[in-house]
Amino acid sequence: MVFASVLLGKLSWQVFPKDIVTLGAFVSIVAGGILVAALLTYFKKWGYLWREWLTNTDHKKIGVMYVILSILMLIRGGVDALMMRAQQATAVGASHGVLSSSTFQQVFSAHGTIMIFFAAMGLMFGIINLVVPLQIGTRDVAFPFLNLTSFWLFAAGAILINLSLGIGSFSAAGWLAYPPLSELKYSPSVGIDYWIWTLEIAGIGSLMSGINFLTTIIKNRAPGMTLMKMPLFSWSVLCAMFLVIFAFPILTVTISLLFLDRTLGTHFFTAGGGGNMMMYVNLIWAWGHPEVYILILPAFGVFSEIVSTFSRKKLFGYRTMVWALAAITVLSFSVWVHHFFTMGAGADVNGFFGIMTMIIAIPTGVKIFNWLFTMYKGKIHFNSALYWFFGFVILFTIGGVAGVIMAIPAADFQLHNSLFLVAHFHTMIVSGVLFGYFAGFTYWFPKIFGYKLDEKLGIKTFYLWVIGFILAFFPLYILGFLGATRRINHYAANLGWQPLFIVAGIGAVIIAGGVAMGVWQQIVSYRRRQEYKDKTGDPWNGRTIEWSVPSPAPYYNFKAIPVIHDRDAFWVAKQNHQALVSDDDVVDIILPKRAPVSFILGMCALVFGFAMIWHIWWLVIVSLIAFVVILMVRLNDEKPYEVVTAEDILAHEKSLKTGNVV
Amino acid sequence: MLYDRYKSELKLKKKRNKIFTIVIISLIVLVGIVWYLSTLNFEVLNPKGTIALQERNLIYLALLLSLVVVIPVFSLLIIFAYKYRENNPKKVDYKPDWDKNNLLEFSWWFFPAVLIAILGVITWNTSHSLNPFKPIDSKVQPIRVDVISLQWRWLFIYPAYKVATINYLPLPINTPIDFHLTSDAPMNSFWIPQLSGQIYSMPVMSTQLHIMATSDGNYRGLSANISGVGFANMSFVAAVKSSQAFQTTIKNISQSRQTLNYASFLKLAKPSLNSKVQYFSKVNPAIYDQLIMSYMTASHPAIINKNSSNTSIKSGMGM
Amino acid sequence: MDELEVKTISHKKLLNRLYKKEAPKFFETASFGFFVYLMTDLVLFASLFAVYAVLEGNTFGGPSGQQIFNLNNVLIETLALLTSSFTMGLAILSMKKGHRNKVLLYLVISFLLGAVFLTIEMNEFSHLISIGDSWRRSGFLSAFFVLVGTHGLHITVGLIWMAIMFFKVLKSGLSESNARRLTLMSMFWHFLDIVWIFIFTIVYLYGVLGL
Repeated sequence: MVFASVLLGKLSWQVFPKDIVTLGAFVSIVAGGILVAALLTYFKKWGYLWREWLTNTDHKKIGVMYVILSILMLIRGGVDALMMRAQQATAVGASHGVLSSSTFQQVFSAHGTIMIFFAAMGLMFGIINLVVPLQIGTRDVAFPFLNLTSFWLFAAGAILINLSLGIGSFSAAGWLAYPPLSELKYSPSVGIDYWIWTLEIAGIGSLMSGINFLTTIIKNRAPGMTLMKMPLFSWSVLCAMFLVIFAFPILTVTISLLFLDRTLGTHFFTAGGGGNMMMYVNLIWAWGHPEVYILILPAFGVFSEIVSTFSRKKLFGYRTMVWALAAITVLSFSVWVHHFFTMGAGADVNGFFGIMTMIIAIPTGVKIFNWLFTMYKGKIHFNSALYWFFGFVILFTIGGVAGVIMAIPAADFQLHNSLFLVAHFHTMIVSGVLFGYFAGFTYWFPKIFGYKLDEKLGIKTFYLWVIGFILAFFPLYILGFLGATRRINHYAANLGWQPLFIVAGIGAVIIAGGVAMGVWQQIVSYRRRQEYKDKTGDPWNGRTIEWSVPSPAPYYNFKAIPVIHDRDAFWVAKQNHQALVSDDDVVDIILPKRAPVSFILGMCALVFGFAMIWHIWWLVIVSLIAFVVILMVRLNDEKPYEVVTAEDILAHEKSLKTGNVV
Repeated sequence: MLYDRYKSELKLKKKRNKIFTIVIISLIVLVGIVWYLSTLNFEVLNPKGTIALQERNLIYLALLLSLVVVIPVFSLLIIFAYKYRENNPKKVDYKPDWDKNNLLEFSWWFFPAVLIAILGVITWNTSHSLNPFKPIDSKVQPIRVDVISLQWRWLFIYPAYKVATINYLPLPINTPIDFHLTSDAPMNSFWIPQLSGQIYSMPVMSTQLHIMATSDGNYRGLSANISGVGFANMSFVAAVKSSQAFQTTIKNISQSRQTLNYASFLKLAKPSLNSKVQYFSKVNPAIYDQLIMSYMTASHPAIINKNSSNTSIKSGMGM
Repeated sequence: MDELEVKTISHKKLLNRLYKKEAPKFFETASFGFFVYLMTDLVLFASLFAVYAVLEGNTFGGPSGQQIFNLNNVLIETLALLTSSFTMGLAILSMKKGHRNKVLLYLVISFLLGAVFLTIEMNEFSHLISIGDSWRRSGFLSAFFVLVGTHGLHITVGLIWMAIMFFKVLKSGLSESNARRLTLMSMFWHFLDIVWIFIFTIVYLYGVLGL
């Protein structure tokens, strides 16, 4: 027995799920994995996958992997959402719905965690990876090996959180796991530990990406591209990465302390023992509020590019846009208390943070007006990417009004923790963040894959999302006024809430239809890729330099690095009938080598996290040592580069033109 | 010719019919929705106490003020998107390089700032006037109620009457109530939407909430913050009564055979999904302070167990 | 030699040539990135300081800082770390002058001083644990152990790094890449020194003075 507990920690036969829902979910994920593996084996694609994707340090490939993984996680989180809607639509009066209370709580905790950390963050880092180096005129990010390692840490976190379905259980304490509920006393199972280690691993990946992209944007811009000539998307990424750097260490510290409380018996947040649970709430939101802006700033950047391109007009008020971004970046660190006005901090503190919260609405409003006046006296081409922008403006403004109301502490007392709040932040994150990245993905898709997405299906996807969203979340605003709180697995029949929950459920199903339509759009567009081919590399009559390279963007990005003189450098060059670079500028270059080590490091982190969760201490030590040693061996490689000669580049450019490469 | 005209008229008629049907159906749906919503109790918007009333008015005011920004944004979006569409048959201005206008840019820094300044003043004032810690101005002597959230029910102690209840909160009308809240469970949030906004109840901590009900009736109370598996069951009835009826209720409760001291409280505090109403008489009013103190001095059973290996625990309980 | 081999060799030469051209830029970028990493570490320590400030008074019947801190030991620790930071600076200066043996010597001295620091800290910790004042005792002690311990962990990493660099310099001298790594390492070491000055002041000095 002692031997087994040393060998296996807390693992035993008891850890497998007993309820059919979780078991079914886990089995279907495993079956999906086996199916994919079988297909790869059948088509003999393992080598291709390994060489061209899993170990490739090319930022575009990494970006695609981020996007695919986060769409998968979006679907996983979406299934959670459907289960929640099913539960709340049925669990009324004597009926207890389809899920047990503890399963329901795990489902909403997983939903929140997955959607923020894996769907939204993943899409964000995906788009950033795809676009930023191309937009600022560099061949790759500052630290390509670190970039791939960040991705694999992100993937390790994603695998870990899905493992919780089949081995043990997930956190049932909400997506931010407030203590003392998340302390050992009230949550003795491994659920919270899964939550902690998922976020530790993925969070460190995000932090490393933050450092990487900040450095890339500061140090690797094309010659002549001063900060005030940088496209607004890159500006927004710069601001978001600044926030990552200052916010994510706080997350790491906070959940590490929670881990120590649970594992080593410290008293940071415990009830009694000299702990202070309110400190946790403060710390987690000192990360959590900037996190919201981390997600949304790049989406703002995407909208800036899209509105300007499809209005065929310079972006209005570039300078104020930059200032607004900077203002939001700074202010986002001074509003966190608005997440818990009801904790009783006192009138002065609440009043101060309420006012700060409202002030942050000003630069946000400035951005919206600037976008609107970019359209003014333009020639607006209604591309599906622009549809997402229209949906965003309408919904985001409505959500913003809800936000301003809740920024008043005394009004928040009546709305906090209600479904009004749930509706508010979903409005902000779905319309702001998701719509932004969907728009960005549609917009930059041809640059990465060489063909455009199907427009009609794109517009259908948009309508399904918007209609589904309105049906799913407007009833929640109403339910908030009815006094319905979030996270309830059951409510009394005489309250009469059920029809609203049913409508919300229908809305969720329609959103699921939107997701399916998006996938269908991919399939159809792929089939018609010859028809939708982007032959010029500039399908939208673009303005920024990523459109100056052929599509799909070659692995070296630019045959020669252009020198930048203007804000919309490519647009100006086109107006003057000039090319940014010529074949004479092409020289021999070096590019980073493939890095199988990144994948191995990610897997070490996965094993480490798993061992930590289950208290398998020998495995903790083994995986940690493996991680450190492998990292050192790699860092010892002084020249992890390979040569691409000018001949190679010119040959590749030629093949792209003649269309021999798909 | 004639036939064609007839056909096109028929088509138009069909189209009209279709539109008519759609309008009728939407009207019916709309009436249905309005009827359905009118049967519901919008607790947040239907206040029965002084605090809830002010908070409701505040929500309306903020909503109204926000419309000042919303309406221009929506109208500009629609007008610009329509007027400057690429395939607009009318000739409209196209100025691809127009990207600056100091007056315009200044105006959307300035006017929202003015609006926010107004809202800011309101925010500051109301967060003081509606501060839950602030006693209510009234000539009537306030009644203190100690609220302890348990796993997963509410314990209400009336120190002045030495009675206590589980999940039932009788309150006298037009009398300021002074709630003191703590928890012997994870964080909960104490909320009676029709009487006032919520406040957290937390172990170790003591928070406060002052309310005054202005009309009698039974109002739903609940926990708004997740606190474990039984959290959705934590609803109770806040029964606002005339002061006579209130006194009778208290008297009835004090007839209860169940009593409550600190020892029996600790038994009561064990996790339970039984949310049935219970009454207690001869209640020791010190339970509330004793509970908080127990978390601060390691005398709470949960803490004693946790630190049992620790030898120096007996030394100085310096509170 | 067959054609392929020729090609490989010429490629290798080309790689060396191109790399040499890019190297200064790579190093500048890496230094900046490392500096940004240090900033994130600073935020990490700032969070731990904030936690310590909140929990400092929560002694929960256990000892306060005044009762457990031994300023004499802390003073020795501080002197050891400050001196090691100084000798690390000397190592970098010698590196710039190309004095390989001096670099090795200063690395050894810095390492030993760091080891002295770490030993005293471990002694302090084990003493506290042995008298029952571990991190389990109170919120204050939890915060103390984790703040000081996190710094100690960083020092440990720094020492391992120093040992590796010692052997690298021993093996391949003051090559360009070794010189770069030494520079980054000294940044890290000075950073830890600065953090320690805050720990010394806020935790120990204020603690003993009862501020």
